Amino acid sequence: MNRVLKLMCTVLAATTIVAGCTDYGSSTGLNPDGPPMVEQVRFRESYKNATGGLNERRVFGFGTHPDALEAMQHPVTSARVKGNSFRVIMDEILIGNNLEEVGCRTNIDGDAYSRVPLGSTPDDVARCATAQDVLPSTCKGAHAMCLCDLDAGCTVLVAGQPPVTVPKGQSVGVDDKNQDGAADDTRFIRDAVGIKCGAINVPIDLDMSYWNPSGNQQVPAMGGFDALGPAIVLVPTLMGLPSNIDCQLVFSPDVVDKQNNQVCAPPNGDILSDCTPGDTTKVAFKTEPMIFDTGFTSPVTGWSKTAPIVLAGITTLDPASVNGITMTQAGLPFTTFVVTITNMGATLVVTPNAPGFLPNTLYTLTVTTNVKDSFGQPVPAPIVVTFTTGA
Amino acid sequence: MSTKSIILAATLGSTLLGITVLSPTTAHAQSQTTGAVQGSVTDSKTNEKLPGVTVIATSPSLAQAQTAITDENGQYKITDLPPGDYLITFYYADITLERGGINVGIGKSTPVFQKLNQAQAGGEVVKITDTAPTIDPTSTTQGITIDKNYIKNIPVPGRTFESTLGAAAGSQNDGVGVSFSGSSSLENQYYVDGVNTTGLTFGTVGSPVINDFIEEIEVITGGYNAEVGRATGGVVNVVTKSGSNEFKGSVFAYFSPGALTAAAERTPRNATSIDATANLAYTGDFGFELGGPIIKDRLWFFVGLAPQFGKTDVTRITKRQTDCRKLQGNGTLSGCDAKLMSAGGNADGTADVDPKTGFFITDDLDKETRSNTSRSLNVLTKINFAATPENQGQVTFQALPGQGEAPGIFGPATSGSKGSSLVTDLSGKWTSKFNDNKTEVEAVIGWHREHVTSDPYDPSQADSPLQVLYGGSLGYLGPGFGAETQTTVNGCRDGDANSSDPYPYLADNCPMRNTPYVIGGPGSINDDTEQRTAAKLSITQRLKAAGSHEIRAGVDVENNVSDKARLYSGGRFIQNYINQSVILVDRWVTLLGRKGSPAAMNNTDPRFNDRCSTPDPDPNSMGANVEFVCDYTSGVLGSPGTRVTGNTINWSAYLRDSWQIQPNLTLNAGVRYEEQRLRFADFLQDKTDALTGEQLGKNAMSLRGMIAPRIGLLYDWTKEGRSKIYAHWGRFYESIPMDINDRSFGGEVNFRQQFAPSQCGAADPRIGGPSGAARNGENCPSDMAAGSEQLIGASGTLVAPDIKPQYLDEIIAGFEYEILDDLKIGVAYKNRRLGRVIEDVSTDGASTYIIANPGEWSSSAETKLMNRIASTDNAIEKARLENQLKLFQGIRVFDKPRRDYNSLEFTLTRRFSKKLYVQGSYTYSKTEGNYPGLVSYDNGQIDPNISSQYDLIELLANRVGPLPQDRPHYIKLDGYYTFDLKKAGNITVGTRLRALSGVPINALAAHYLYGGNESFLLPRGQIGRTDFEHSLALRLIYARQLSKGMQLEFFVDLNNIYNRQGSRGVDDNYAPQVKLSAPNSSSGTTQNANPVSGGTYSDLIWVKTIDRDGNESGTPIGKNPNFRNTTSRYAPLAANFGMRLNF
Repeated sequence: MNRVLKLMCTVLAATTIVAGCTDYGSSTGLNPDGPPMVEQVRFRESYKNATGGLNERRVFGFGTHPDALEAMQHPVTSARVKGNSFRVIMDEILIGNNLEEVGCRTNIDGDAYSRVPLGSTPDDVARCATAQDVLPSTCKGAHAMCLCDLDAGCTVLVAGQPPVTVPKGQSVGVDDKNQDGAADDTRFIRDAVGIKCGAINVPIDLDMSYWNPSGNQQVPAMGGFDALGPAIVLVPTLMGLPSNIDCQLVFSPDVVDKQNNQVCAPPNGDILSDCTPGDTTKVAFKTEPMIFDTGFTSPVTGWSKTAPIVLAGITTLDPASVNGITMTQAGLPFTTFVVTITNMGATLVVTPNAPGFLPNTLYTLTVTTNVKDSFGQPVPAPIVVTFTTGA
Repeated sequence: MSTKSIILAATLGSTLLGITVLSPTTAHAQSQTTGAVQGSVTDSKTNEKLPGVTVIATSPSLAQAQTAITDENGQYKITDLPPGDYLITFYYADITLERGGINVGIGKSTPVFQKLNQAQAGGEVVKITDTAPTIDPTSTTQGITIDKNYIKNIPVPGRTFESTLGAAAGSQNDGVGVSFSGSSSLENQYYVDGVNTTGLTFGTVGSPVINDFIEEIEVITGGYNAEVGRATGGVVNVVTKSGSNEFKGSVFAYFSPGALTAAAERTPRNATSIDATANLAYTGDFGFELGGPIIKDRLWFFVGLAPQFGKTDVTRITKRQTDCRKLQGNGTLSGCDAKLMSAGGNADGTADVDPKTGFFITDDLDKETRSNTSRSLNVLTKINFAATPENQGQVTFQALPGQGEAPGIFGPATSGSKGSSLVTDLSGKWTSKFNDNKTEVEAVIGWHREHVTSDPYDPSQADSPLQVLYGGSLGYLGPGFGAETQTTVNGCRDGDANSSDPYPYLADNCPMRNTPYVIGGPGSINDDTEQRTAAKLSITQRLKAAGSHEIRAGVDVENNVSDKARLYSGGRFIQNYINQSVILVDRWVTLLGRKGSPAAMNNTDPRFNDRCSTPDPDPNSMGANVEFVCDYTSGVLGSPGTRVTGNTINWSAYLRDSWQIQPNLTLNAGVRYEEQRLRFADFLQDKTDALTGEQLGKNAMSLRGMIAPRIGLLYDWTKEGRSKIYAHWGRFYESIPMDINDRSFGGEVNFRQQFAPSQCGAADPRIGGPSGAARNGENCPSDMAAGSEQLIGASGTLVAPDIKPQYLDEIIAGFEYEILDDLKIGVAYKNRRLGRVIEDVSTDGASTYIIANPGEWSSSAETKLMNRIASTDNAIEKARLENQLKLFQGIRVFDKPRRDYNSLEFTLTRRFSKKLYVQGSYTYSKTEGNYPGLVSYDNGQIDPNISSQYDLIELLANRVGPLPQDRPHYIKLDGYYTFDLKKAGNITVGTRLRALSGVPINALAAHYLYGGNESFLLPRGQIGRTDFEHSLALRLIYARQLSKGMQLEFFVDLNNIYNRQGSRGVDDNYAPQVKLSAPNSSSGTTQNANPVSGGTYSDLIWVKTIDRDGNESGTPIGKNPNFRNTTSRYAPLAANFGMRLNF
């Protein structure tokens, strides 16, 4: 019957002045044909403003958007190493089961997160999120999740009653404190998608990173470009990224679309171009080099004899490399180290030992290339700060 | 002259006396209230055409006999015949032949072709009773004619004409009305006695005429010619009864007692502690209708009077959640033991859930009944006047006053409302024929008026604002507001193990999580009047030229006026989100302009001293607010700003020719031109828009150039009027209802303030409980800055320059064939496609709204605006225009709205003969697209042409799919059979069978700006359909002749005979707007979600929430425990009975 309808529509439309049969293209549609492509990647970069000051902004480091201003779209050579997050915007939906796992009520195999079997629906999650007493009859079969994998069983704490021991192979239940049938929490799967800088695999904060299948290429009323989707949001741990290094995105081979195609990145995020499944090398950026902010412009005069020199870096330093800082007094090297260097993570504080710096003396402090960030990336060039103390 | 009567059955008609019924060969389509008889007269032996035969039509429906004389081709046509049964008499030489049993329907040409045997001449009157073919081979019109016998014998589900409309193939009840051929019901036009009675504001039924006053209803579902317009749905013509030369009428009474109605099944709402189930208490009416002569053959009257009354009992069942069961090894739940599990019981502090249904298990606490009542009076009077047979007139007056009361259900009864209404129709019609009836002129004038008022249910609440409390608990709302019974209050009391709380480990026994509790006054106050004054004139000319033509031209004008109240009781409307610590206060305001604007600077009116601010729409403002000079509209009717006017002028003209090329080949061609001018409210005309800076004139939107061609071709391959194969193409334009005048062109501005509870006085234990911190929204101040403030609608409404009207194209092809006498079958393919839509869009993220054609904007308008910008020197004006240009260009990014309806209709009609009538159809159809029409079924919004469906670009995602009115399979079968019990009377059994596919189920979520059910998480229909539904109704009528001309009938109806209360709708809301932190928590977080474009159900596991400000987080969305649960059901088994005394 449906074929008859379509035939009638086609024949009659062709013989009259009306347009052809239904065309349902949408400006909010995705691009499910072919391999899943990285269309854009958004993250923060450092840049110098018109007065030379250092600012940061969120840009399209890969790909672009028709509504984006020129300043917001370009290859990035100074990706922020601290506090950055990466929004990897795809041209189609990926299978979420290989990107995230759901939170369980208790530890099942070393942690309290479980993969969701492929093909599971929210109804399967709800069946595994019911009350503990109902769980054995509802959370079973191929779509059961949060299965205990400990030989001794898994202990679940239930309010107002003794702990329940769930034997190995049975579900401990999806964590659903508000009992709405949905998981309270999800967590990004380790190494599903990563950032590789040189040979360094950047640690990813699995709790903060996530996959969201929502969204499309239309910019919503609120949220801006960071509401485009579907998107993988990657958040490095507090270590951040290594400095001054070329980086790429790395996708696990099992991160695929619904046709089991691996992810690729077309040149410039142009999804009309071809790309080879599994090849995401086009997504490349460089992180900002290590720099230090002293709060003053060198050289400076009249420096207090007891005032410390604060070197505010952009990322955490390798403590062992801090002794790569040198200092000269009136052009002569110290014979005795008269300052104390306090490493406060990303900030070094150089404090003169009592009784302080000599008066009316020129000091030169050099951060040598032996100073490294916590990933071992060195300062790209020596940083020299000079100041002359007051009377 | 002697008379010899010969009664012939239709099946013998072709042979006896040489008289043969042949096919019709002349043109179609009469006025909206009358039909015609047409045909030709030939010699039965020679087939010679017989000119000069006098043909006279007489009927009890007709004031004076109507006459025609056959032309040189032996053809004749008698027009302007009211619907009814006719006797056609042919006079030729000394032959007199009377043919009875000819039924004439509205808008139809009944073919009556005669062959006369001249050898039979002899002065005898030959009488035959026969029927004419039921197929009108000159018309492509689709639909059904419902006569008074259908209404009388079929158990239709209501007492007014709308209840019969569902008999038409391709029609369905869409919850707002009856929709036809994939359109929404608000796209229909309704005519009563030729006058447009369509509701002005929304396009609903304006004058619900009671069935007993109706002569006939013509339901047109497509294929209509140029005479008909302003509809992209169906057209319904109701013709009321008229008087005749005999006094005729009836006394009737109908009654539906609640005692004979099965109890409605409960439709529980999870995590809500009040279930409301409506059950009929009674409904009924009684009255009379009488028609007869005032001056015989000249002046007739008809009068009908019928009071109606009804009462519906709403049973409120209060309930509490339990915490005393656990699942046993055998999969069943244990018995109830409320002791802690550690103490050997089953309590664990979480509510018990039925593992099979997913519903919380509850104890019923108490039952209370609150009743809705209604009363109305149907009055109809009509005068028909026949100056001569060629000059006739009619005046009709109808009035329908009504009253009703509806107490509050989810809260105190006092939060309900009372209302009254008065519908008035007055129409006049005059028809004159000239030039041997070849020329006909018809003039109709009409006035339709609706007046609606609402008042508080409890007068003491007249000055109180309506306050909606979200996320509360009956544990404190019950005792707090004194609206719950003591049993409920006691049962919901929360306490510790030493208290009377049977489930002390549950934090909240009686949550009101999914249904808010409502307190205060009635909210919006109505005192609305709308009226339409209409006039139309048509002229018809029949002529010969390469066949025969019937050319008709006409013009009509409508002046539509609305005058409405705009106020809230207490001056404001409050939404109090107890579990989110947010209170929203809405007020209607009148804006004078921005602070510093000339209008504000020159203001001397002290009223304009209230606080109004809103985020600056300028994208460079970085979120700053702008201040307006404004006045809060009072809660007192008649105060300044509480009334808004609207005006729309419609006019149209048409020309059509029904050209009969060959006796069995007809070409219908016509063109219709329409215009519609929608005006600004009086107080806005010739002013400057407060925000857009646009200079407003008189017309807000002028839709011109609505050229609607129609063409149809028909061929009768049997040449006997027993078949037709046909095709039709037509374009139809929408007539925009006046809601847009009120909302978009009436200066509607709402000031919303969002308060933190701490700004609203001391904690109110009635609202938050003794230990809660919730405040009463009534105490929120108006003179201080709230947490956020927004003027909704203050951006003004722009209309895209060169906006084009909304239209629909239609293709129909099919055939009908009379396979047996009185039995015809038909197959029709129908394609209806929206070509263009008018909707409001926002291209700047909800700052400014433009009424536009989504997806298209005229390039010539763009060029004009660019030229205007180039020639503007004033920098401010230039910037304003440049911003407008950008806004208008953004319209093109939006998807074009689409709605495609494709159907195959199989129909079977057996007209009433041999005691049997059958009307059946099977429709296979698909209604797909991204725009259902003027009803937003998904969120319940009824704002034609300014719905939220196209407001924001992100709301368009996933809208494509099977639309809410998509029901692939629909079977309808109506019929009745009369058993003749001889002297004991007769019994008629009527049935009405319906079987239909369910409707698509969606997965919806809230949008951070627009609220619930606005975001299509998944493509339309992704979740499946509601169940296939079916029902059977039965009517039994016993009729007994009391005396000549007097008959008494008793009847009983059994509706939904096997009491299947199937699911009519389900909860499509996947992610509730508030995600609670715990099942019975008093705190929660806002959760919104953007659509998963092209996603599947599995993807919803991974969707993340968006907060109130549009910021995404990594938190997965929560799920609505009621998702896919039934929200409404079909009516239960019900019996009603009545009597009718016909005389």
